[in-house]
Amino acid sequence: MRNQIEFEVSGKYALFTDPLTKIGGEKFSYQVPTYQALKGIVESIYWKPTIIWYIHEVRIMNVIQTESKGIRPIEYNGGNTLAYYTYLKDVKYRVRAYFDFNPHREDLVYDRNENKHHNIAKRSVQAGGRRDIFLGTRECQGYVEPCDFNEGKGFYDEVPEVDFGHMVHGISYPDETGRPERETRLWPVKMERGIIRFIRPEACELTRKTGEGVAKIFGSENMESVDQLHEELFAEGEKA
Amino acid sequence: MSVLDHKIDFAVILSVRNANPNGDPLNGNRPRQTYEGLGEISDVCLKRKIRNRLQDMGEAILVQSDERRDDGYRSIKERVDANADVQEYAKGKKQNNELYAQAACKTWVDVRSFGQVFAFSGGADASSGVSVGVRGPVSIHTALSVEPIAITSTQITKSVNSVTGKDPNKKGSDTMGMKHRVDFGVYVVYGSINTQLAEKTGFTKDDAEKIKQALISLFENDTSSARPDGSMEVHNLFWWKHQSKLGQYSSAKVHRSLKIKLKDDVVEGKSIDDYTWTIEPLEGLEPQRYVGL
Repeated sequence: MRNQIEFEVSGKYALFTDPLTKIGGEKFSYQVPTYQALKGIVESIYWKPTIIWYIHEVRIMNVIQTESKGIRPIEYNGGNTLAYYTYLKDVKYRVRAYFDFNPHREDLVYDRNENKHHNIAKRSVQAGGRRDIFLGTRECQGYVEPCDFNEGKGFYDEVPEVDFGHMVHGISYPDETGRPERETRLWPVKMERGIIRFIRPEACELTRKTGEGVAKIFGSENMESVDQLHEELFAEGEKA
Repeated sequence: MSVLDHKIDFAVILSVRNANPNGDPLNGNRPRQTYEGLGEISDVCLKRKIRNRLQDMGEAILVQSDERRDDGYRSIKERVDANADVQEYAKGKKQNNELYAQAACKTWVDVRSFGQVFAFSGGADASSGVSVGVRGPVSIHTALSVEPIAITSTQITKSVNSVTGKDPNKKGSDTMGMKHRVDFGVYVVYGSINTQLAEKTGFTKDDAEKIKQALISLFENDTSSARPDGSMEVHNLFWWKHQSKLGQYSSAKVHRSLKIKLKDDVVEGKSIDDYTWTIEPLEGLEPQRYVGL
């Protein structure tokens, strides 16, 4: 893939909340990461309004197992509740992602330097991300490291097919669709030999409008241009 | 004071002796344990202690423990609503989520460090979302013990009824209770401070220094019947200061470079002397070591 990065993300716990379980306040994780969760991880590694990240595929390396913990969430208006959250345990994923320029950001055409964005993205993978990495929720801190996608042995490499039914694919935001509304997307998930190949967001057939919104405006006054950042990262001559 | 311009990773080695470091409210308040039997201290428990230490240093804290609050507000909402700087951007003509978040970050050190979600009821137009989220630069992993922990549970009794019953000579059921403790455990806390988010929240070098001091003296003024004085001890804090914003190495490498294990001839760790830890050198990145208070 053009402009692709490959990395391994791992952590002791992960919580990709199934939204059906969120209503009762007791979160229960999906068995595999959603497209949106992985996109969030890639955006934690490196993101600019100029680009949109697409997740190509994810490889599940470790056996899927869960662990529940007792949590005492604090209410905003005072008081607290008690809840069991069910996490995935000891997770390791390998991800292939690539970026494209955001066609709805006509104002940022000057920032479209493919090569520089790609170099910065690769450097950010080396450094373990520009922001902290977490798996689904902030309490599940994880690590990003460069890897070869096909290397090593995954637990499900010999399993021909596992079907997870319909899962959340992600949320479409105004800045990536150009429409002033939020949509939630669903799709049927299949894992073949440990690998889930994601469809592109626009290829999802099951969508539902879930809110209104407008895209945040970016310009030279509230973002650093790719040229500046490239200069900063590669002029320092720091070790990768 | 200038905004933090270099990434920081940290690790804290602490030990627990005959105390309950962090009870599980859904498990009769037994010390938290993973399915492998390792002891656990949740990230939010550690953040609570850090907030308390910052409060002791005289910093303004938004999420204050109700029993040690330093103002009259009994909930986060009251504290937010009473702050004029922040409220200026909450409603009406000057409604602006970004300035709102900025004002909140400026006011409270814990918002600046850990972030916070301010839940709102929705505004009239589409652009004013339902809540303002601030993502903070300081992230902390759940602390796990190095070895599985042994938990001792003791049945305790109260010597007098809380309320006089029908028959004053009869003991009520509320006089029986349980206490749990970890006999001995060594836990490791990992965390890091991120420069990109520091720029967003205005987290300064000064703030990083305060977090460091809070970690060194984590269990000061934190004593309770579950954690008597001297039962919780911070042994070492490792503080890796990278030379750049992005960091010279990934946090994964840095955190892995701390190796802690039982000494070879020891079967069961009964004191901190049974453990040994070393730092694998990373070229060009030397941690500062601090001995806990």
